[in-house]
Amino acid sequence: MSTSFRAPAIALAIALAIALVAGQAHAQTDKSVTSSSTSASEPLYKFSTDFDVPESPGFATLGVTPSKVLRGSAGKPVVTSLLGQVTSQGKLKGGVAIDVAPYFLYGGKVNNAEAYRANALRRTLVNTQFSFATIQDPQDTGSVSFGLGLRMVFVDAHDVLMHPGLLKRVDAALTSCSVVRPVTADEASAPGSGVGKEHACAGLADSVQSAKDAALLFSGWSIAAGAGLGGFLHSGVVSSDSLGDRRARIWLSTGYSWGKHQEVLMLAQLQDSTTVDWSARVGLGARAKFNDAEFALELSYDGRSREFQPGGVGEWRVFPGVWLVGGLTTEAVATSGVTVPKFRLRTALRWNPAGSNLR
Amino acid sequence: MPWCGQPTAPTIFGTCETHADRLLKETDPTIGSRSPVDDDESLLISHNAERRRSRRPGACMPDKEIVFCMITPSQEPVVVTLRATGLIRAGSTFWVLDEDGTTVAETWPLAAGDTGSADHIIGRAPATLNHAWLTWDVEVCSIHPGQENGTVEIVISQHGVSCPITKPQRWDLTALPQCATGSTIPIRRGVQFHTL
Repeated sequence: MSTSFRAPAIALAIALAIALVAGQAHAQTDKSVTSSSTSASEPLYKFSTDFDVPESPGFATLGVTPSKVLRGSAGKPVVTSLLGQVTSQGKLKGGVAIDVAPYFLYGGKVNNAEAYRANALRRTLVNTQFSFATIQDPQDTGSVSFGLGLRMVFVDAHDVLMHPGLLKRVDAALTSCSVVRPVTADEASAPGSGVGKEHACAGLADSVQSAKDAALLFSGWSIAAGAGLGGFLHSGVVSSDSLGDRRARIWLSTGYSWGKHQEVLMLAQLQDSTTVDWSARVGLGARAKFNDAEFALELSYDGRSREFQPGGVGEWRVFPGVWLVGGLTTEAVATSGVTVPKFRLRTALRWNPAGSNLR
Repeated sequence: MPWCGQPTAPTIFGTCETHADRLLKETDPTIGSRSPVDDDESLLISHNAERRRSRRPGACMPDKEIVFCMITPSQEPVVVTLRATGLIRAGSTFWVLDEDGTTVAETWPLAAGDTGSADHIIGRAPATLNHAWLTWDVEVCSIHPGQENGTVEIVISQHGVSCPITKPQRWDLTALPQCATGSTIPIRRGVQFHTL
């Protein structure tokens, strides 16, 4: 006996479940810490590196990312992506993806920056993302494509934690903040834990920005691997009969950066589907990166259609943590038994809730 | 939270006359001033006092919680270690204060750095540290956007072993702010040295 549900409801439920589970795990992590002191108050606003936000592995599984030559850069803790694709019929195909890096959410630990550098396995776990994506079918709005993706980053030359000494400037700023006034004996022996409230530390944000900028100037490799499974739910019904167009993808994406602004990307991908056996795709791309915009040109060879497919992508930071992405690619489309290349315009909005470096 | 003279927590001694103590003494003459010596009598008095305090919410908070660090007046210097665990940064300033608890005799910065641990040898001879204070302000924040937890610890040692009766000065911190936001959590605490 199969149980039927409406697909949008399922997609929403799964997305909510991921968010809730992540949140609950986070809460449990907090609870599991036996604090001999008080917990610090929740920060009002948080920032993280808002540069080179990678494509969603869920969308990559479905082959709908605006750029086909994917990045190898480190993922962010949580990223939500909205996709808008103009179809050949002129209709808009919408999708949503949520990417979560679960290591710290589930109580994972790294002892210090040196341990992060020395332990490649742990570093990979820290930089592992899970992703869930759905795309609504423009013809049958009750049907959806779904993709589950996993992405692991092994190396990222721009990871600030990978460069010994860069964070000394952060330490210096913290030390400067601590010398405002000596802690007297009365204060040192006052009841309580001694842990104060969160407060602003002059020069700290600048020092972090400076360290991250310095990390971006390093030349080197970024390497990531991904894998995903996906399919199509006809009429929004979950059953063995309604699940079609099953697909799987695995990929290796690498990039070599010359400083902050130039990067060459390479992709090797294998894809499988119910209609076509495993086929390969390889791609090469060049990317120019600036603080508030990135532009890329790419060329990939699709082993399925045996075609070279050029493309281009532009990304703009519209708000701190929010990137608008537009990509024009070519895809092989079968029309009346003949495969012809067609342009595809894909747009995406990436929201990195942890924020950005921008102040 | 230990209460005044709590014998089960010999590493923290509250100063032994809180406002609550004074109120209790007015109503119960058997509760006198106590020393932190945990003999049977003081235990009994403490127990009675605690029973009374338990009926008075909030009355067991001491005015002060002095953590003593026992050192030997030998030539072996006292070493202060700052430890930070997790993808966090901890930068600090330490002060050695004279017995009055306000006059700065020595100060130095210390950051846990990439290894999460840093040492400093106190310049003053241990024999001159009797009743002196060691205080610190450690500023802590998270350097990785995914991590909000971490542990900070101050270890004071001599002859390679930590202060024998000092309660470990350790803080398990949650919801740490990101360093990139420019915010930190301060830990302002200290110990008083006593030579054996």
